[in-house]
Parts: sequence; structure tokens; C-alpha cells
Amino acid sequence: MIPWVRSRFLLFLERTIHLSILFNRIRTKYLGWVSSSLEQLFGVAIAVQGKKIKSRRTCFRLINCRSPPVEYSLLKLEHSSNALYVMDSLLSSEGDSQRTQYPYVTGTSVIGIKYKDGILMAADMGGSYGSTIRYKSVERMKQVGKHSLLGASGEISDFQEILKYLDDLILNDNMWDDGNSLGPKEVHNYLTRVMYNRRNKFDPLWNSLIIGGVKNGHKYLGSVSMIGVHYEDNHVATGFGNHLARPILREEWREDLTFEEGVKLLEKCMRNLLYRDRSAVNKLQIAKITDEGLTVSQPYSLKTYWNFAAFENPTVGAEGSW
Amino acid sequence: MPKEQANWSPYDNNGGTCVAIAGADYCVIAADTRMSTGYSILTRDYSKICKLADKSIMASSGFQADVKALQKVLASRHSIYQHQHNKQMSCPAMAQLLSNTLYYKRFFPYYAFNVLGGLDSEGKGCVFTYDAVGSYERVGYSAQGSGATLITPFLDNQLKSPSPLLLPAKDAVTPLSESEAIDLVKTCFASATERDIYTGDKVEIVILNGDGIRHEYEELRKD
Amino acid sequence: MPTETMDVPKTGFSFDLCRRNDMLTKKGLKSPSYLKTGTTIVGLIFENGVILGADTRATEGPIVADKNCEKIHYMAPNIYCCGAGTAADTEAVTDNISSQLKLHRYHTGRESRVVTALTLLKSHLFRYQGHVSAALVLGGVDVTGPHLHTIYPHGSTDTLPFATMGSGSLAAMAIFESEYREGLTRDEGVNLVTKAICSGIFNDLGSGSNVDVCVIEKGKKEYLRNHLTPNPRTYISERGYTFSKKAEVLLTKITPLKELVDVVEVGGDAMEE
Repeated sequence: MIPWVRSRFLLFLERTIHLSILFNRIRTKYLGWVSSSLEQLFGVAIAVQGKKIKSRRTCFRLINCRSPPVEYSLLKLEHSSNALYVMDSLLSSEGDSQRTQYPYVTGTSVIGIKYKDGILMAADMGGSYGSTIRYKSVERMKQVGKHSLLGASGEISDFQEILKYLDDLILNDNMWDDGNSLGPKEVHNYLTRVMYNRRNKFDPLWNSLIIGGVKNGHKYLGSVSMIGVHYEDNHVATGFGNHLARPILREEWREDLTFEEGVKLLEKCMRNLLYRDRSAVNKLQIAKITDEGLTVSQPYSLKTYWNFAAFENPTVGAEGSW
Repeated sequence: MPKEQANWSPYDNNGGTCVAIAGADYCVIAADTRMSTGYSILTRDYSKICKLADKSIMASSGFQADVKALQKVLASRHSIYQHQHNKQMSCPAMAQLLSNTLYYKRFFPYYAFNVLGGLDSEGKGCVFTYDAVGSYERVGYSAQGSGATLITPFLDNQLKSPSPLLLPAKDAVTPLSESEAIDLVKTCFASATERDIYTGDKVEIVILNGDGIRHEYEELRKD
Repeated sequence: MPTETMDVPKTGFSFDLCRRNDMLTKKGLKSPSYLKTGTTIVGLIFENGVILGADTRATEGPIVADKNCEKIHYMAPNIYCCGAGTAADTEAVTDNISSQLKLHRYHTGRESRVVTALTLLKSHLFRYQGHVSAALVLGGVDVTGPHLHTIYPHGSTDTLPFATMGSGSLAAMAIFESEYREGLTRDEGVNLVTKAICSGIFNDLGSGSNVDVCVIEKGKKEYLRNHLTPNPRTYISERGYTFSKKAEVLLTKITPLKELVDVVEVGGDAMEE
């Protein structure tokens, strides 16, 4: 077979088999048969935990002695040598990195708005480990290049990985030394492709991102999700913010919001999230980006109110309402 | 390890409805501008319509990230075509390309429901309707997306002969005038918005005829 | 000789077919979907009473099944209850408890209390372990003053100064959390409830159409059905539409039934007396 055709065909085969296993189209007891047939026909075999399935018996042994999840992969048997090597594949890469299946340390909502002179963004500083608030000083808004601001919710380590990608991107762009620089729109588009490509590899970056910025007086605010869904709007929010902050923003946002009004609006939204989102903490930062540059505020707390009479003695006059 | 197992799916449904109607010398392509996920609205102003070539316009609903990827693939393929042939791709050619592009991902499909509208080489309106993996057909009109089940029977009633067994098949294009077609599209969307929760906010209508491309907008219910 | 008797059904639900249905589900049968009121319902306490509010959309999956349904149910003259969840469950459970309250009033000759309604509702819901899927906002004014409670499908309850439920609860709560205060006047209260419901209507796809409000004060109540109608149809064609019956009639044959069956005419019309 022509090498090019062969490699294309193998790729196709690999995806078909992985999807079939993934969706339980192939029963475990037939895997041995499928594997040996593939070996005869195409010189590939299915492997469990990196070990080739030779027959039905080995298949059962390999699978039964392990608790799930079982890692399947496709082994390519090279004609020229007997060396086997494992192709990086959809499922084995999923098995390699547990983080793909479970996020560890996560940050909750970020919200961003356009205002008169630029973009304002707010995020709290909590880092949750499941339902435990494990970290309390996580900075989730960072500058990207000259004109952009990136806010992230979701897996913190993935966010830091994304920042590394962006550092490379900005460095490469600077090396042209042509006086040109990437604006928020370009960064947003780049992140959109990164997120979408990772979801295509079944190894997503577990984040929802918000990108804001100003370049040449043009304001830009957009959002990307874990699987690559993206959009632009005058105000955006991730996670719980979509449910609790955006109703307020849709009601009160205006094009000509001043800085003070914008901060007040963001604080109103953050207070709502603080009351109603269990992983929110009362320590937040607000970031501002305009044509003049970026400033991120020192962490601070919001004033809250808990003194409703009904909160102090809820069952007064209604004994028996538990 | 956190006990709650977070789970993810490579697909999402971002809702939306697309309609296209072909006439003798025009084609009307329309889609609402709501983008949603689950029960929440992501944005009220997202255009689902994409100009692929001078005389080919695609409206797509489904999974937005896939739709965008598909649009980018088609755009790059069209720019290669232009470099090779020094002309715009015709609408029927684009229709075939779209089908091939969708089928290429047969085993990890683009979750995109498309209608392609345009003018053919004779200047006649044409509409091509697709499923997610590339099966397609040239028709006189079509609806796709979340409101399609509501709109299709209405369009059938207004535009189709009752049965191909009883009457000879009419021309591939609809007998309406351009303004009648636009009016029909607006009614379709206003009605679908009444009963489909994923359709609403605004309808974007693109009209393609001998004079070029024109855009119209009509507000829809926002609930 | 056995006498033929009809079994009088016992009170409560019939579980006769549960095992059969379980078997069918295991074999892959899809059980039919129910009408859900993907809903925004709210309530708050104002200076001299309680205000309840609801949207009017009922959905079945992605389709709007009813554009103007009623979600504020009558419990007693001084108690009303908003329902979210499966429409049949919210209707049945409120009707049932409402009837029990009425009987209790006949027994005691006193006005029903909100805690009584609350206790009956939560016991019923707890007994069915969440299978009666009704999420409720219960409000009323009794001898002990105004009361507002939420009841979850599993039977847990809450006593609150302001409450929201249903798929639009977060959108509505966003409004309450930022604008509610104690000692609202009647008009301020109605406006705030309306605003919260509108927030649900416009931000939550499960909620829509109009705003219903119910104001309950000491010895007085006002049910403001369709208090606000913020969602008129946006476009109506000037041309109008005709839906012609295009199907051609291929064959017409009328078979008179009288010739086939013996019709015995009975003199006089029994209905007219």
C-alpha cells in the first residue's frame, strides 16, 4: 500500500474503532476476534493497557484483572521490523491524563462588560477542590499582549497552560518586529481554535474563558467555552454568572457606562454570585483595560447584608414549619 | 479526589432555526439570531448566516463550534478554488463541496444543520438542504434546526402541490414573488418563535437576486 | 353462587402496573413524556402581606405547550400556592391539599393556617420520595401574620422573606437579591415581583409569555391574572394566509347506515320533560 494512503486509512480505522468501543458497539467478547482480523488484514491490533489482544482469552484476562477505566489503544505492527509502538490515540490519551475527565482545582464565574472607555472584568479569587474552597488567592485575570485581558473559570492548571501558549504566541508575534501586535480579536480567535482542537482530541482544556480588550479605540469582548463555543457581546459571563449575573447585565447595561457605574454594576453582580454560588468567595479583583493600558485592582471584599428578621427567626408565628 | 464527577460532552446544541426559499430569480435565506445552551441564552445577536461565495449563502444551526469550523473549512477551500480557477464557485458546486466536507467527518460528524441558498448559473434561485453527515438534495424551499418541525408543514401547505401522485411536479422553484417570499419567511419565524423555545430574538433575512445581496431584519419575541 | 361485584378502587395512587412498566423500561420502552412547567415562580413578604408571582408558559421538551397557563393555584381563601415541575403533579397536589384544608375548616370553623397547608404538602411529597415532582412556593396570611415557604419535590421546606423556584429561579433571584428589602409597600412589592418574573421570562427559555400576580393581605386577596403581557406576537402578515384544501377528492360513495341496521324508533323524546 502507498504509505500516505495507509496512514490515512489507519487514522480512519483508529477513529472508527475508538468510537465503536466508546459507544459500546463492539462487545468485549468480540474484541479478540476483531483484533486478530485487523492484524491479518491491515497490520494493526487493538491493545488493552498497551498489551496486544491476541485472542478472546487474553482479551478477557487483560480486561478482567483491571478495574475500569480500561485503556484501549491501537497498535501498529510495522512490516519492516517487529517493533511495536503504541499510537497516541483518542482513548489512550484520555486515559493518560485523568484531568481530562475530572477537573481538580477550579475557579468559578468571571464576568466582563464593555464601558465608555474600554472593558471591565471581575472575578473572585477562590480555587475550589471539588466542594472545598482550597485556595483563596488565585488570580484568574491576566494580561495578554498589549491590548488584551484574559479571564478564566474552570481548571486553574489548564488556565496556566493556556497562558503559556499565549506567551509563545505573543513572543512569536513580537519577533516579527514589524510594529504590529495582536489585538483582542486575534487572541480570541486563537483561543477559540485551541479550545476546539483540544475538544476534537477528546482532551479538552477545562475552562470557560473571557477575552476583553481595546485596540485602536475599538472595544472587544468575547467568550469561549471548553468545547469551543464562542461569541461576542456587550457583556459576557461564565458558569453561574450566565444565570445570576447576565439577567442583571441585560437589564442595566448601557453603552455609555462610566468607570464608576461599571464597577458598581459588576459589584452588584458579584454580590449576587457571592450570595447564591457556593463556590464563590468574598475576595475579588476588578480589572480594567483601556487604550491607556491594563490595571488590576488589589483584592477586596464586598459588603453583605444578612439581617432580615425572617433570617434571624424564620419560624416565628409558624411553629411546626420545621 | 473530588467526589462529584464532572462530565463533558464533545457536543452541545446551541439551537436556532434556518429557512431558505428559492424563487425564479431570487433566493431568500433566513435564520434567527438567538444562541442558547440548555435553558439559557448566550447571546441575542449571533448571525447564523455565512456568505460562502458571491452566489452561495449558508445558514446553519446546531453546535456553534462545529458550524464555525465548517465555515472556516469552506472559506479556505473557496479561496483555494479562486486561486486555481480565477472565479467564484457556483452554488451547485459549493453544494457538492459542502456535502463532501460533511461526509469527510462521517465518524465524528459536524453537528450542523445547514441550508445552502443561492443562484445557479442561469440566475435561478436554488436551495440545498442537508443532514449532519452530508446527505443533500436540491429543493425549492427548506427549513432546518430547532424550529424546522414547526415550519416545514406550514411551508409544505403554502408552497407544495399536495401530492406528486395527483399533480405533475411543479418547477423546482416556488411561484412566489420576492416580497411574498420575504413576508412568508417573517411569518414562519414569528410563528416558530411562539412555540419553539430555542427560536427568537431577531430574524436575519438575506435576499440574493440579480442586483446583489440585501439584508433585512425583523424583531422576534425575546422570551 | 358468586355475586358479581365491582372492586371499589382504594384511595391514593394505583401502583398496579409499576412492575410491568419497570420490565418494559428495562426492555427499552420509552415512557411517555409529561407536560413540564419549566417555570419562574416567586413570592415575597411585603409590609402587610404576601405577593406571589408566576410566568404563564408550559413546555413539553423544546415546544411551548401552553402560552398562557395558570401556575398560581388556590389553596384556601387566604392561601395560594405557585407550582413548578410536572403540571399534573402541581395541579393534583394543590387540589388535594386544598380539599383537605376545606374539610378542616368545616370541622373547626376557623380560617386555615399556612403551616397547616405546608405540613400537609410536605408530608405528601415526602411520602412519595420525590416521585411527585412538584416544587412549590406557598404563601398566605393567617392569624399569625404573613408567611412564605418553599417546598421541594422531596418534601423539604424553607421559610423565607423572599423565594424563587423553577428553571428561572436564578434569574428571578438575581433581582430579589439585589433589590429586596423589608417593609416594601404593596405597589413596590407588586413591581418587584413583576420585575423578577420578567427576568425569568426573558432570561430563561423554560419561562415565557405573561406575568400573573397574586396579592394576599389580611382578610383580602387580589388575583391579578395577566398583570403584564410583555410578549405580543411580533409579525402578522398584511396579506393574510389561506390554507386551501388542495387534496383532490377521487371517489365519493355514501353508505346509508339505516339500510344496514334495524333502527327502532322510540316514541317521544326522553330528554324533553
